[in-house]
Amino acid sequence: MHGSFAQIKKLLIAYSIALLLIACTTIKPHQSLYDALGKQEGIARLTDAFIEEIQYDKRVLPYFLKSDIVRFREKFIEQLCTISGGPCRYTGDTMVDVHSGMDINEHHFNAIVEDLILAMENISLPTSTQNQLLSLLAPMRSDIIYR
Amino acid sequence: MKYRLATVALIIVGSLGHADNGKILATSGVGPIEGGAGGGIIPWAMLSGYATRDEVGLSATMSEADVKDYTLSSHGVALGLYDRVETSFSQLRFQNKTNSVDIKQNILGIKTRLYGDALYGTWPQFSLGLQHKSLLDKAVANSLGARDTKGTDIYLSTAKIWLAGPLMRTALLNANLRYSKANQLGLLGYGTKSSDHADILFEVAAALFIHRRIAVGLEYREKPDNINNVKEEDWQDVFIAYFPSKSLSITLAYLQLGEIATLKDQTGTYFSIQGSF
Repeated sequence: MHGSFAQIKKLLIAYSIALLLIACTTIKPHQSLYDALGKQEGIARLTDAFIEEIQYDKRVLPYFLKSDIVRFREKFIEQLCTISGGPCRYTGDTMVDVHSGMDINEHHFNAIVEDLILAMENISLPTSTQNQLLSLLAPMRSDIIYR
Repeated sequence: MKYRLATVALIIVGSLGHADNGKILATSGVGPIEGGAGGGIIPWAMLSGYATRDEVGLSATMSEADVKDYTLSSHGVALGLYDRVETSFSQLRFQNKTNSVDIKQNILGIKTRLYGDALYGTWPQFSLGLQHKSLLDKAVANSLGARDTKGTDIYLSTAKIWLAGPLMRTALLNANLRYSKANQLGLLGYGTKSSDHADILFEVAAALFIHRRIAVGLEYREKPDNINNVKEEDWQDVFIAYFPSKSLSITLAYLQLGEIATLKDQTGTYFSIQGSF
């Protein structure tokens, strides 16, 4: 088949429509995510499982050994509760402030994402719930790395 | 043969090792027949391996397509540098199952990420790639009246990954525009004696991760139709890819390659395995 311009235009339009459709199905209220995570109790369980994974991860453990893990636990629970639509308000420092000067690179960030995924797997969260949470956390990346 | 053995050795060594590069599982794509990162029959905007901007990564791929009258096998290596540049070398081998047609082609590829991050960016990732191909066996291309036995394709590639896409599953969409004079990937040469005309061709791939380690998807590749009386048709496939670890991926596909060198309805299977460091 010849790649005539009319045909390319048609295909580009089809591609744009596909992009839009996916974008639309992606925008969903996060009302139910807090419930899907198991509310306060489930979020605490996830946070503990996450901290356990970090303990075994030599790529990132040094960063956590330097921080106050009790405070990290408290603020992480608060943040998950807040972004998942739960009845909380995050009272910690901004992501930029927390991570400034820590010299966190892409490799460290992705290691943490992997630890969080392992933690979510360990407490048997469904893939859809995992993906919803990850998609809410992902935009924080630029506030965390190379700060 | 030497290349092939070296590729097998690399895949084994790679898959046994522990790939420690920083990117997230499966964001490297798999190894397409023409080398580099992509799906089965088209390249994707992502770069091969899991190297972040501070790392380099090497991968080795072998693939085997088995359609009605032909086999098309490929093996190659790709080097990803600092999430910016990917260079690749692959050798394709195209054989007719019932006669002596046996065509080898070398493909040297380079791809650079122009903008964005398919996974974390708001906008898609854009990459620009070149594939320089040269035939080692030129007789068939010459006998069909091809103008050249080597040539260079240029492609612009764009990809986006949604972590929570349709059905709350991670989804990928990739589209390419390719500028090419190639007849059947260049296996039948480039252009014709009567025309040096180049086409702009559209390629698209979509994939959905039904599980964190398993993706299903489809690809479509628009093809030119340069040689009179030797029809060439668009290619498509449906695939399933399995990522047991960052060191290994296995892809199975069902191919529909249409008419190739006067033999119609070339459908069949595709298998590919990739090891990464």
